[in-house]
Amino acid sequence: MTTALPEIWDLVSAVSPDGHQYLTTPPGTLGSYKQIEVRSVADYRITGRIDAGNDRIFEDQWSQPPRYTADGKFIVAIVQANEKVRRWFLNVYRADSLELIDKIDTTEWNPRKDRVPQPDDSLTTPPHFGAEIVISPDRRLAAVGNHEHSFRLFDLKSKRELAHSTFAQPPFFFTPDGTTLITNHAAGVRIWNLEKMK
Amino acid sequence: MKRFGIAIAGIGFAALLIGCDSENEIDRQARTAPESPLLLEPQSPLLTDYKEVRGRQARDVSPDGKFVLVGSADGANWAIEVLSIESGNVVGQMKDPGREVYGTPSQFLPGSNYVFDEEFIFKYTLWDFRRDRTVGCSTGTNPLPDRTVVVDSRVVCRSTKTFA
Repeated sequence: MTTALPEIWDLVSAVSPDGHQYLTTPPGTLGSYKQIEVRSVADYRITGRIDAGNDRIFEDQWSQPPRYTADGKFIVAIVQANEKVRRWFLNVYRADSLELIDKIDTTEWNPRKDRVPQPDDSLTTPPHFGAEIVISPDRRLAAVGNHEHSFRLFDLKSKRELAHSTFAQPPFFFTPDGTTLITNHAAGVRIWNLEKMK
Repeated sequence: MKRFGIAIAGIGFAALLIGCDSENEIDRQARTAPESPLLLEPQSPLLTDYKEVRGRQARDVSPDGKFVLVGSADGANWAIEVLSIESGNVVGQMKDPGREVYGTPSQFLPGSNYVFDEEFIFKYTLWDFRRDRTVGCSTGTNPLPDRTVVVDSRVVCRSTKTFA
């Protein structure tokens, strides 16, 4: 006999890799919000909240929602700063304490740095269709893709672009141990050994 | 309502694909893309060591990081396979996967070795790729029996029944 718990219709942004928790948004805040709720999968109970402060987290069917890193240790959210000029940041939180430990300015990745970021700059407006940013578990690398099928790999500490490609498209994945990157290309799937990166 | 909205949009998109443009964008790119290298740094390639599985798209990585779930490159799920990251070889192939018509990619269930596949609306299949057998499925509006299920990346369903 199957006894089902009540079906819920939370807007679930991500489930932790161990399957114990999920991220969701407060009721009635679809699209743009300031808080992320962390809930237990077992009973839907709220176990913590992430507050973006003055920033805003955007999420709709075309944008990248908050997510866990592959090892489940960090939560990454794309936020728009409360500034006159649009700037998008990657906020990185510890999954256990929900402490904000990093705030990465994505304008560093703008290929057109010679001008003020515009709403159509694909790398400064991550919510565009198909845009994706994935952080490696050690928080050293960022795999960035956009709707124009470009792929770029950045070193977050040196701010250096390590590699790029056209004809690639999201999703991209790091393995939990950070040794492998998986990308999708026009020709097929590529499994990269990051340990042999020069 | 949101779900139905997405479903209707998906049906429309699928019809558009079938009726108006059977040639997939990715296929077009595949014919025009330069052969190699695709991933490069001017003057000094940084990433050089990779395995390639042609004609497939990665959908998910298993929680233990050892496997990649792949679907067919055209976006429809006429093939769902599990690849070993270490060898690049296919270690499992799902039988009769549902065709992905509106953007719910097949995925590993968090905290398990099961693959979750959704076929159209409210029809789900749970596949144990290690034992190569279907361990659960659901139709109608009932949530999937067993474990945690992520539907459309937005809905968590759970029930208490366990499939041994």
